[in-house]
Amino acid sequence: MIQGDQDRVLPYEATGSRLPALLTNARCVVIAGGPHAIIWTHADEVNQALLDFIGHPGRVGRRHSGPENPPQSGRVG
Amino acid sequence: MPFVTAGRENSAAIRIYYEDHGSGSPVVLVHSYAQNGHSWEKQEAALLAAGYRVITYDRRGFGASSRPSTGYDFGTLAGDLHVLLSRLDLRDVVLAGFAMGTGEVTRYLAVHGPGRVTAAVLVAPLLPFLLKTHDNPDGVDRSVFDALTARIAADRPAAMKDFMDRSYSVDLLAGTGSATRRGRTASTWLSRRRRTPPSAVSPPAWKTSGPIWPRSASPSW
Repeated sequence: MIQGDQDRVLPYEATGSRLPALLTNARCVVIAGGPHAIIWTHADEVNQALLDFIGHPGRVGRRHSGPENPPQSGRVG
Repeated sequence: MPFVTAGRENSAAIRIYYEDHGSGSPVVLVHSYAQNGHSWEKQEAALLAAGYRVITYDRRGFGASSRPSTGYDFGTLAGDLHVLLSRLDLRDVVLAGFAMGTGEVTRYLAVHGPGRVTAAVLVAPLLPFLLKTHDNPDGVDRSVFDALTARIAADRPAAMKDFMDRSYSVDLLAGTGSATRRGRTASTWLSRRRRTPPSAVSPPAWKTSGPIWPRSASPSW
């Protein structure tokens, strides 16, 4: 889950912040200052979080999320 | 232009436009309300560079896909996604949705199962539940959505401008952000608006039952 903490369409407090308690094996990244449309306004941060989660096929040793890539939460930005 | 056929309405096929680029493990990107598959262009570029195959598509009623008069509930929309994944026979898929697209991702997993999916990514999620119901008292009253639907029907361009301004926080990022960010915001706003289908009055997808929309969100449209 990736979301900006300044999302004014789907506020983080009402949406993304509730998911970790409802999902198992979830990783959550909150982008400080991010609005709703973070895939454009904060593309670098989103892309980093996305690739950190699903892995970099071009790099040996990291593939998809799994036991070697455990659930965690973090903030960026 | 590539399409998959997701059904028929009277004399015409319901065709879903998609793009399928690169090689490697597939990542399927599901766009938000009021946009189309091209809204993922910055993620598409990064994923292609990282060695993924990237599939984007336009939801029915959006972009270059057909605009049938029915089928805007998440059950049908997830069915459209199922058609795409099945027709392309995608396996070990990373399924990523943004905003409204997280509805398709989660409904797909609930209805069609995780057999083809290795990971799900929810960006600015709708989840877990939005509509106020008897067993979800903290949700948003249906009247909020009915009012939004009426506003879109009455003056869609004005409603779209408000929605895009809110989505991109234009008042903040265009006023105080860096020059780069200000330019990016303005250009994508105009681009997405131009790509919005001229006849698309958003159907009330939130009337779909099921745990799709976040419970206590207050978008204050």
